[in-house]
Amino acid sequence: MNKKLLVEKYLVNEKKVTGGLLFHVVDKIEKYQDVYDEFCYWLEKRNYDKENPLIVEGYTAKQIYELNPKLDGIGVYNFLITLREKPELAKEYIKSGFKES
Amino acid sequence: MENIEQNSESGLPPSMGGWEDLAAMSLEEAKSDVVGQSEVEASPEQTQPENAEESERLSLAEIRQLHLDFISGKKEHISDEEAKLFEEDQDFYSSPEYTQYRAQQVIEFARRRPDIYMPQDEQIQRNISPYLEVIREDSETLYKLGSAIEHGADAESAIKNLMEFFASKFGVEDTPVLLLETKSDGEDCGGYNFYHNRLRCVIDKNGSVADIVETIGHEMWHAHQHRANNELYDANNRYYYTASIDYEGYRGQLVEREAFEIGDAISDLFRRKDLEEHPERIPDLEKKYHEWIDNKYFPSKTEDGIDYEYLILAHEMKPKKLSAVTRVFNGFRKRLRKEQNEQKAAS
Repeated sequence: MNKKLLVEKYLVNEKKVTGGLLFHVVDKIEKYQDVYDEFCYWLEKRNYDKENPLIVEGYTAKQIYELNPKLDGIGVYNFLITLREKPELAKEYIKSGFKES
Repeated sequence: MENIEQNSESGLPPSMGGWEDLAAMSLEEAKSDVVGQSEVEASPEQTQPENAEESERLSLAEIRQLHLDFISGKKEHISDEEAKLFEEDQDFYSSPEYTQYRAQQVIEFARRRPDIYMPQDEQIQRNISPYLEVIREDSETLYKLGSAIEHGADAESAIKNLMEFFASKFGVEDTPVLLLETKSDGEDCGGYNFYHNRLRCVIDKNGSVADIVETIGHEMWHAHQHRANNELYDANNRYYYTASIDYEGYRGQLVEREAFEIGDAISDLFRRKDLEEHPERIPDLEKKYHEWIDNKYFPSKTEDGIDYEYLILAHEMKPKKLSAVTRVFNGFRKRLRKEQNEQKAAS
């Protein structure tokens, strides 16, 4: 299946992302080929267990998921991007327990 | 805040002028509108539409409308049948109509984005400062109401009083209905639902009263935002980043940046007052810090349940200790960074 379609379907159906935000989210996840490929792999398998997983700042997708199961799927891979682009900020979020309200 | 979609009745995304406007706009025009927004440039695949002919099963216009419907949230779910139609129509994603639609959506988003998704500190402060000042002037009442949560038998009633306090300060005429929950996982603090005007407050058994005060302040600010008749707030709430999609996006968007900022400021006020009233609550800071440094760990709470933010405030209130501890803390950070760099270099 067309990867783009697969990603859009997932975001619209499962994550209820609509409008311009959809494209914004797609733009971000497509930014790094290695992250995008692993996200698409997860999308098909729905499983974080993968040989030679991507490691960003010492974290794999599975470890991020274990730290915060709410980030399941797109949230995990977007967080890997945050870890790559803003490691200090990302680690602050981890340290504060992904505070949310 | 809970994710609330506000879809237009027309089925078009609320941020758009309409399909006709988009169709009239060439892709080149569309792209020229986003100069400097390199991350939203169309991919090569999008710039070279190969086939704009109608599909055999549905016309391109129909598919386009279908796509528009679910993108705009008119349909909550794409059925298997609809999904199959998309899969079979290989030309759709490379059609000029879709390309233009997507480009326009991205442009619309990019245009609004700086104020909504990358708000400046000045913008945040400008919005919250007047309200924060009013609360600061009445910090005695804030402390009294907050403390009542700790000491009173009826937490629900005490929290309602605190909500009334914020409602009067933030200009919220119809105070939300309180939904109170108790948990111990520390994952969730609360939420505000505009449509039902309900405020959910989760009391963490291991949390502090200051956390509750912070949550109520945070959520009541969302209630204020929904009543402010502010175009940016409305646009942000329409296209709201949930934490589960992108935690960085969630924390960075306008409505949440403001709510976190005002919630933090309010809990700081409360904690400062609390330490003034109860100096015995100031722990042995240096001892704690040295323990953490030895363990390379800075928890949000100490093992005996002392709120980390109390420690920070206590530092501020004890300048001599602060300078000593800050030196140690900075030294730790420096050492950690050095270790990380060495690890990077080695790998």
